[in-house]
Amino acid sequence: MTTQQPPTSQRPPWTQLSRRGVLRIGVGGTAAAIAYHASALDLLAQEQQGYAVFNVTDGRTIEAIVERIWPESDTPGAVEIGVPRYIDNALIGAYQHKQLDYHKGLRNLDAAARRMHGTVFAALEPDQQTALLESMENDELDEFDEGEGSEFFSTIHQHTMEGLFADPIYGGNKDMAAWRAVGYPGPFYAISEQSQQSFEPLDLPMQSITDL
Amino acid sequence: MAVQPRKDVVVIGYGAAAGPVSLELAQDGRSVIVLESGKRRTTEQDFQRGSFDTLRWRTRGEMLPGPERAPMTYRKSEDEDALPASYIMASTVGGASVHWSGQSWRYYEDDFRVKSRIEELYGDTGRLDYLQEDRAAIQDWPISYDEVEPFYEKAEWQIGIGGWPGNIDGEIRPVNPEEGNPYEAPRKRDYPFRPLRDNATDLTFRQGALELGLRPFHVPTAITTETWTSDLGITRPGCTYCAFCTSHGCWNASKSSSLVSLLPAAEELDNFEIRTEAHVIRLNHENGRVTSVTYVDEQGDVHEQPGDIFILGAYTFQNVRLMLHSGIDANGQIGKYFINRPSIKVSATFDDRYLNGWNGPAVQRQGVDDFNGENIAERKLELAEDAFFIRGAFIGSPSQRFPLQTFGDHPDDIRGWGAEYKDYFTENLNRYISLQLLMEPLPYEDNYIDLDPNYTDRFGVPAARVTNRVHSNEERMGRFIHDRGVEILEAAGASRIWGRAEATARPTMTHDLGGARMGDDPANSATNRYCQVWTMPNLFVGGGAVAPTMSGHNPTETIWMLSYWMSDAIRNGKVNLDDASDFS
Ligand SMILES: Cc1cc2nc3c(=O)[nH]c(=O)nc-3n(C[C@H](O)[C@H](O)[C@H](O)COP(=O)(O)OP(=O)(O)OC[C@H]3O[C@@H](n4cnc5c(N)ncnc54)[C@H](O)[C@@H]3O)c2cc1C
Ligand code: SF4
Repeated sequence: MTTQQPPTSQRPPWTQLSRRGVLRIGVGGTAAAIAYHASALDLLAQEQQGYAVFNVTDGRTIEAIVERIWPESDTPGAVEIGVPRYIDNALIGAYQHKQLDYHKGLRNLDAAARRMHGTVFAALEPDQQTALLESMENDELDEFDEGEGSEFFSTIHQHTMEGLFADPIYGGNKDMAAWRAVGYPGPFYAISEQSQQSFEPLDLPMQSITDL
Repeated sequence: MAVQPRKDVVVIGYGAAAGPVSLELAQDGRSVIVLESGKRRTTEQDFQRGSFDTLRWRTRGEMLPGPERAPMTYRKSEDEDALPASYIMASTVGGASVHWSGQSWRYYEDDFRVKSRIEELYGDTGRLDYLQEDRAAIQDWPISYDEVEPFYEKAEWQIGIGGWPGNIDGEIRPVNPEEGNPYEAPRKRDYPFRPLRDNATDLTFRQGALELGLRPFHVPTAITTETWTSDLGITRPGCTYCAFCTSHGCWNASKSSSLVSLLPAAEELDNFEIRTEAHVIRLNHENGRVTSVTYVDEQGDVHEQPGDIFILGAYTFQNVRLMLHSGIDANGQIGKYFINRPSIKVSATFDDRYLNGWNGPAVQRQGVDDFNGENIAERKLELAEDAFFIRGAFIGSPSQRFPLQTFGDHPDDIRGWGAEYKDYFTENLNRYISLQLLMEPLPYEDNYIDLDPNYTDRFGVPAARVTNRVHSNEERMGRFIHDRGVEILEAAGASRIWGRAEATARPTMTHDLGGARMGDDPANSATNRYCQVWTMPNLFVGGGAVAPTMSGHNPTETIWMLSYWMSDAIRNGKVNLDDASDFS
């Protein structure tokens, strides 16, 4: 049995950024609405200025990693969605105790990139990056102590998913772009019987905690 | 150290188990003090607006106690070093009944007499030898369903548990032949309200189950489905299906808990008091009686609370840990026969429909009990010798599939990140189902809780160390139940099914029973039939630690029932507080 792609017409309406979606964000008056349409590169530059924990090198590496985990396709990738911002926020807050792990892990990954390709991780081709991350996930990089490569990968992976799918109030999931991509409209106080018993995509307005 | 005024009853922890007994004994006119380690979180202040945040409550676990208070370590067997492990518990007024799911059951009649039942069914077949080799330690409960039935009823009508009855006084499925669980034990009184409605996931599961000739029903739940006034006079509104349910406090006070169903009634009584952020670190005893407990308040100040009757309601691990740390184990039974739910997996996606699994609470659920308990004894006897197993499992169809809690489950041939994964998840989050497979594990001599020699909490109390692995019975059951789950999903029209048939003991499950089991004999049990500790007769164990066996259902309604049952014994003088072997 294989999964067949549903025809585009069947995809939930929020997988395309609807006009209503843009307007809703626009009403908030934030720079986020503009950022959504900005290219990933612009964003990259913008993000780098503002990290609290990551220095410029680490910032570039983390961006490259999360983009490989959730790459841009017909929907935005992890960088555009603000995952590095989420992780940076978390590392000065709830995950302070992980700062050192990140610092060490990113340095080790860069060292591995240099050994194998003569340059830093962020400068590699996407395929090379993916292969290197796979090696890290499988504990195949000598730069990491026993078991630390896979542990670091699973930490970043977990945090990437949080940056994608947690509520935008935590700094990731910008404009609810990750929710929109997978067809999740956000929190509601109540869900109707009709919605619940539908076997079709649901046309519910996108909202985050701040809209409740 | 400040010594607090003496109380008649001192209750340690305020979760599910503590709720009924502290209310009942206060209603009986006794002075009751509850010492609860967690903060007080309320519907109005914390959940009404704050609950809609899966990162906060589930991923980061704001209501969990953490290793500073409740450190745990885990190992598979005695040859291994135990390592720190995270078990999902609770640290908040109301305990895990605040962030639980609410699937609620009475145990079956046979669940109280597993040993006798399997002897009756299989004793002559020579099929049970493997259980001895594995050192299974099955024992009947010292109580029967008929004795405790009124206390189940009290739990349902005071706390709020709804469902379709499957059996009223022996009459099968009298109310709605489509919906009741036909295997249910007989009840005297109907449920106070009906269960949640079905959603697309449930209808899909139901379709598959009916196709196979099974008897699906909507599970009973401790969630009000209409505005409802309990037998205690507390009125709560019906569920709005917001879905921020399991791991979350309910924004609407619809999910029943000790916090919203019982505490308001207790707090109306002048002789009831709850002290929060009061973390008990020791039970002090003299001449075979507990005299006081030592606790630390939020400032770090140490207090002593004397009393006459002491009730442990701090969850299985903390109850056992506190007893062992305090040197209460004269008969060597505390910590033994720990039982923890093993895990297997069956998940699927559907190409022909959307299920939108995030759009309902986890326990909005159809299920089947056709493979639970000994409901398929004959079929099991037809299995090959090395596939035969005793007991069984409930199979159901959960919802609450938020992206943040579902991302980790995908077909094995897709790596969990990268372009292919992104495509998979983007197309399938809303086409996804993953079954609940509630297998009944057995107690064994080599599964137990003791004190860890290497780790302590910040007050110097050793961590609870769990030694627990699955044995042949769980492995065989896992393979069988996995295949039944697959069949149901195939029959329902799933396009792609994956899973894991090999049962594992994972230190994450929230059904942790045993460790202080009840019995008839102090030589092989920790408490008598009223949860009274054999060797410390003014100490009672609330919660699942007293369970000799688990059942293929969630435990909490039984935990509530036992709390009423124990209260009744204390109120009506069925126990002797100086001698636990002297009871009626
Ligand atoms: C996510 C989740 C989902 C669940 N879903 C279901 C379900 O659908 N159906 C079901 O039947 N069961 C379910 N359960 C299990 C259910 O919550 C437990 O069976 C039940 O809450 C156990 O009751 P208890 O009183 O023993 O412990 P708890 O309810 O955990 O209460 C223990 C209390 O004691 C306090 N405490 C601990 N140590 C100390 C100390 N040293 N001093 C003072 N206080 C202390 C804790 O802070 C806590 O408040 C679920 C649990 C979880 C976590
Ligand atoms: S789904 Fe219902 S019971 Fe669960 S949290 Fe929401 S309103 Fe409460």
